[in-house]
Amino acid sequence: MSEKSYNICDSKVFDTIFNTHAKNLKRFLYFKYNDMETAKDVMQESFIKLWNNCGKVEYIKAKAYLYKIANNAFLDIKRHQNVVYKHQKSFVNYNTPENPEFLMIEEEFLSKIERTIAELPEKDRQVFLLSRMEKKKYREIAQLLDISIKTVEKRMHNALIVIRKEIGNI
Amino acid sequence: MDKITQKEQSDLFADWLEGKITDTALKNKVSEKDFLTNQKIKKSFEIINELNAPLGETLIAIKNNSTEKIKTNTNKKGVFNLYTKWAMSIAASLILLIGIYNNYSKSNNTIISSNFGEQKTIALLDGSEVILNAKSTLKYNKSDWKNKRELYLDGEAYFKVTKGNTFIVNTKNGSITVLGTQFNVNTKNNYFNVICYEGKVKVTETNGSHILTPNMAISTINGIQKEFTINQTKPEWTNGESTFNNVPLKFVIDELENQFNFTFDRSNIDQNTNFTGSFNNKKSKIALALVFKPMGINYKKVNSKIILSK
Repeated sequence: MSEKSYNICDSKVFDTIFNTHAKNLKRFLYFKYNDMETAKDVMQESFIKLWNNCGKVEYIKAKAYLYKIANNAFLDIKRHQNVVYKHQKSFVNYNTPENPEFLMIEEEFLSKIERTIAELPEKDRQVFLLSRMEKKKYREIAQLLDISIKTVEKRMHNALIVIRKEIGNI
Repeated sequence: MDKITQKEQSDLFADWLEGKITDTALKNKVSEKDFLTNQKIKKSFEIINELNAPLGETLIAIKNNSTEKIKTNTNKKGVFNLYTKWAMSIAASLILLIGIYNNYSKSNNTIISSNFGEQKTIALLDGSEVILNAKSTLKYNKSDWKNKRELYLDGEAYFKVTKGNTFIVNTKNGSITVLGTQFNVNTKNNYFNVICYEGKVKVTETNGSHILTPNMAISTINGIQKEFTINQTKPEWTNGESTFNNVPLKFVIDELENQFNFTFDRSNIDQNTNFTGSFNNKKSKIALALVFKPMGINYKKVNSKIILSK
């Protein structure tokens, strides 16, 4: 049982915990709040609490501890929003459906897109990720992969056709 | 709208993602459902991106245990907003209290005004309610209120009047007489707009008087009078949204200034083109985009001024 002997206060151990759980926690929180900023903040807050209380938390319970704190923070914020909402009910209405900011993305929808991207042909996916995720210009991608801009465009379009087709079927 | 192929659909989508065509252009070419799907996919890409962003810096920040620093950095927005909201409501009630106090003591003239981007709800003595939009002023005489329900308005306000004596709203551009009703008045320099939501409203201007019935509206812009009908039951701005119906751009920009405390340099644009649309009074960036993008106007922030150009 070597796991038990790990001490979270050990910087390297903490790094491992962070690297294993941070992204998943952020994702979990994002779908709870439907807001990226809050998700980031709460995720960070949870890890700070873990770091500050590293002596008190056992290594094997770290994950449960993080999610518990994150969930409590979620409830706190919701409760608080309720108070504010009641307080201001008379003149504030945040939900304007035509505003793209408020587009609700369900977890299912996102997973489907992620799956579709993962299943793209290797070459198309490479171009797609460079363009959409790393925000590179077509010209830069062409240079990087040593292909013509036309080819980049074609691969990008192929990728988008597949994605649109998959998503369009919902 | 003609049916378009998957290929064309994707080409449009790609161009739109690259920013080669605008939202409006895409909207015109594809169905509403497809547009929504496109928007969702685009947003999803952004989310996937965010969710996969490297967290190295966050880790360092956490490890440095600069708890305070992170707290102020990340929570600032929420806390600040909350406190301003509290402060605003406290300020509003204080002003109200002072107003009431003043009335019972010396001065009989009550003046209530709202600041940039602020809305105020005022209860009058007879139970009538006034919601004041940003940068507006309301004046009335409290001691004489029982005999004469009369007030003076500069700016925009929504009135819910309880039944009783004649209720008169005087403005620079004309006066409005009612018995018991709900209506909206917007009066600024050369701009006068009255919308009736309930009951009957009589609008008296220099060039004659009109009687409005529910869902009727009248506007006088630069001396040109127009009557039109609306289909809301309450002005959009009370929900934090500013709406315009064929209004010269000048007044739209004025409203942006009032809501967000901006200053615009308008020397390079034609302010007489008409604008129809609405913007949210909370998000200045989106509001700017919603107003200027469709009009084909570029906007750039230089120091504290926003420069507009064709």
